[in-house]
Amino acid sequence: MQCLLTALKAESQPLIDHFGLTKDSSFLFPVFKRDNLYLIGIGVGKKRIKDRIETFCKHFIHEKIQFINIGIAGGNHSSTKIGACYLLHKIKDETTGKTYYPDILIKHNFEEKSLVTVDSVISDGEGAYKGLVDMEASEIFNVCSSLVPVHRLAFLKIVSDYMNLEFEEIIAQPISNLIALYLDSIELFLSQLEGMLLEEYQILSEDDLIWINETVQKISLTKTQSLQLLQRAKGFRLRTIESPFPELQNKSSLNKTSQKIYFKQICDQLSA
Amino acid sequence: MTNFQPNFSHIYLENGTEGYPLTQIALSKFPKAKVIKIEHYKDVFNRTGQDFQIQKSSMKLILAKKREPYLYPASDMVQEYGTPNTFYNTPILNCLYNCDYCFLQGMYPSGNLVVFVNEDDLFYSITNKLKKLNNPSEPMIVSISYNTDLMAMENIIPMTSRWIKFARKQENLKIEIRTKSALFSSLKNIQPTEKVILSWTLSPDMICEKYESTAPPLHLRLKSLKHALESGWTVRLCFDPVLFVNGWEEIYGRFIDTVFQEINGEQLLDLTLGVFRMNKDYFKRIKKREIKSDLFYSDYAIESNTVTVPINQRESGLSQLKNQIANHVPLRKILVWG
Repeated sequence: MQCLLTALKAESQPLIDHFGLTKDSSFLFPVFKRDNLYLIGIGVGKKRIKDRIETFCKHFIHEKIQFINIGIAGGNHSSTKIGACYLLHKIKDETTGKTYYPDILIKHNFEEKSLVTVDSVISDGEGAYKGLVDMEASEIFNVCSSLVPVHRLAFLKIVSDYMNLEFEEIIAQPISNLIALYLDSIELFLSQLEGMLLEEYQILSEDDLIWINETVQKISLTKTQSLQLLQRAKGFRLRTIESPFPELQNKSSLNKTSQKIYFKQICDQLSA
Repeated sequence: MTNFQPNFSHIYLENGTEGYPLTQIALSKFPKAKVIKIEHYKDVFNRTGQDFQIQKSSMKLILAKKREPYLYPASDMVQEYGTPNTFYNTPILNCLYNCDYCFLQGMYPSGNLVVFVNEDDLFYSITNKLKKLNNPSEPMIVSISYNTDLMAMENIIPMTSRWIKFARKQENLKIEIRTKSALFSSLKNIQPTEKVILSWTLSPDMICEKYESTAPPLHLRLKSLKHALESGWTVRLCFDPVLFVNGWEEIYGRFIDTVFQEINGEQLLDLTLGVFRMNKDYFKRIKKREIKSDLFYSDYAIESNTVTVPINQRESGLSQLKNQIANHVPLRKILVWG
């Protein structure tokens, strides 16, 4: 699944409209969804990011989640353009000095830039920062990289100002319009990124896992035997992609010795 | 199908590496690459949360400066580790190829490649060591392709030829360059020297296709090593690891016939036979990442912290192959590991 992370309502609204997301009221903070696409409103700055993302993830423990931060940023007037959208390849946290590097593995149509995350709005920083500046990206990377592998993180930033405006002036701009210009490009990017999730498939399918559980129950396997069975099953599935697992015989009330013999027979069949 | 970026779409450049010739060569080979400045290569290479296998679909290049130590005493995974004065070094971390059985995927947190551009420091460490050998009557042997396939990189960064040039001038030194590459052509204009051992790892077609799919196929490796032999280079053959897959006797039998139809075994320096073996911690780490290779789900034994083929199977299997190879290579030149 994919989860968009936005700070301002003006950033989320065009995405909500474009992807037809609806509010998920089971959360105490803004969450919108449609099928496998979610959007979390994380608020401006770092303070709510950890709590909201971790709370969200607790609802989806077994899901593979990609996090995509989409939002506005201040840009250097000589190296960026107002309204241009950039994919981040380097994020520095100005306060902690830590630097983060998103993995950029898929092809995309955006220009790439580095960004510095600051703690408060830069309204007199024209020319002081070489690339982009925002208030969330480093914390998003910091929090999300403890939850998912780094290649599942992406950061898209659209330049709204040259770091010469006060916060009120920034949000008074037609931010939604800036985002709206890139909705098709964002959709294409999300679809490319989603393709990477397929590369992370599990060896065993749902049906395979059901067979393993049934085997564990039926012949009362110990914990060690269950783990052995799981390893054998993975080897079997990798060697024989479409073959069914061995059919289980109806063996009620096996004693310890016959259980061991039967378990060995299953293992031998899986290793063949 | 995921639309991955080409390999080396991004080059991470460590502070202080800009002026090195190898940096300039690498940057000129990839003029369209995004160059990202970094403080230290470990900031990128050692990040937590990387996925080795998915990164192999779009490897990035990290240009960095090697810090000491530049030279390591040989581990028991390096051939000739039993002889004195044997060392290895790491001009590159990680490999262009991604063989299923490779220990690098358990050793490194990243699928990206680190190239150390300060080659003079690595050269100097050897010349310095040559003056202080414990056993100066024996040659110093350095495996320079232990954590990588140096020759496979030759068209990208010509480090193999630079190492050969260095080795040629040294007294009492031999370097071993182990490879699966088919790029001997890139060295064809270099005069052979007895200071260099070119070691080719060969496997049967079926093994190449299934477990070494990113490396050149057997016939191209054979062509390369044949060319090297004909040009007068010292060549070692490695059938390592031998994989006891279903029907291995026939598969390896045909393979041995194919190899020695092409080359004269008596011209080889030697031939090494070995089975799959891996440090236990690396093995566990790889399995934990849900590796998609059946090799990791076979029955192995653990011997001295190494996961390997059970002794009975490997002794009888390797002995069978050794007998067959002995029809082509003098017995004294066949070295068996395990």
